[in-house]
Amino acid sequence: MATRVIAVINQKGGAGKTTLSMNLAAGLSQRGDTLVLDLDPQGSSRQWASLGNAPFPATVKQVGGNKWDAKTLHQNYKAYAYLVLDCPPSIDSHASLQALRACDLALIPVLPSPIDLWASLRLPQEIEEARKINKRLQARLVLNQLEPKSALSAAMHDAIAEFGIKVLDTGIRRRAVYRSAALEGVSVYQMGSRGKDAVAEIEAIINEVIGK
Amino acid sequence: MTRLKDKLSASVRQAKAAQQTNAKPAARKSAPAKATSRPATKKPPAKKATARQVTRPQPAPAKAAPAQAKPAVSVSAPKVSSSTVSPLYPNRVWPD
Repeated sequence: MATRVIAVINQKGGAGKTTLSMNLAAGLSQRGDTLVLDLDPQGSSRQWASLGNAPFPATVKQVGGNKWDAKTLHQNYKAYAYLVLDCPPSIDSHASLQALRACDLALIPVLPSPIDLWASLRLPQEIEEARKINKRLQARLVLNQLEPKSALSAAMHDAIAEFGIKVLDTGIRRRAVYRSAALEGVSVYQMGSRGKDAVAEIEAIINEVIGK
Repeated sequence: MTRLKDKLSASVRQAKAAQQTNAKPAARKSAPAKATSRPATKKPPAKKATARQVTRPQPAPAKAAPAQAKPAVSVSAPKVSSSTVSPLYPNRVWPD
């Protein structure tokens, strides 16, 4: 089976790229060998996986510099069933450009805030550009940190359609358990009953993006 | 709720348009650089100047104020309080 590559990307910092990458990887690891490549110089994924007593369910590696490209990613990590690329918050970086060229799917977490929406507007253009090289590239927006009682959160689904990129039906709600899991160096899958609802969200996202 | 949706959608469209405008740098080299991509807010129409506003020769300010810092609307009380100023001959002070 060919490695399925998912890039979690957004030029805006704090959109939830690492949280989504790590929990997605934990869910995917139940389906096949999964590797998270931390392409962000901040190394948050690597730091996350280094915390806690239990090993993180997926392998996490940090990749820096620019002596690699989309081709070498595929060659070096073809043993894995799933590759999750946690991209830096910069669309112009070597890492982000190569990630878009390497991936089958770009998942774009967006917060329910106008500022985040405006800041993410260059992404559709970059994705179109990457498609000239990577013909199989698909992109999906994921609404992150949704607050069910907030009118703004509810209004996001319509406003986000202006992007011209499909939005996943499943959004991620704002939950403390996502942050607690990071602090404990685990995913929401290891958080017991506290993580139940969050796990259901991540599972629904996985089902949407790779099928059941 | 509908209003919020519309407002949010409109803001995205506006930001998108501004982004596309900014993505065409070649033809705009000679144009002065804009501080932000936000469209300039429409200035209110200038008030019709009163005789006092137009004609009163103002003392030179100690420091040059920024261009838009203050509109030249407020003028302190006339120094020549016992005189009237003609709108036709602004530099002339006519005795009462």
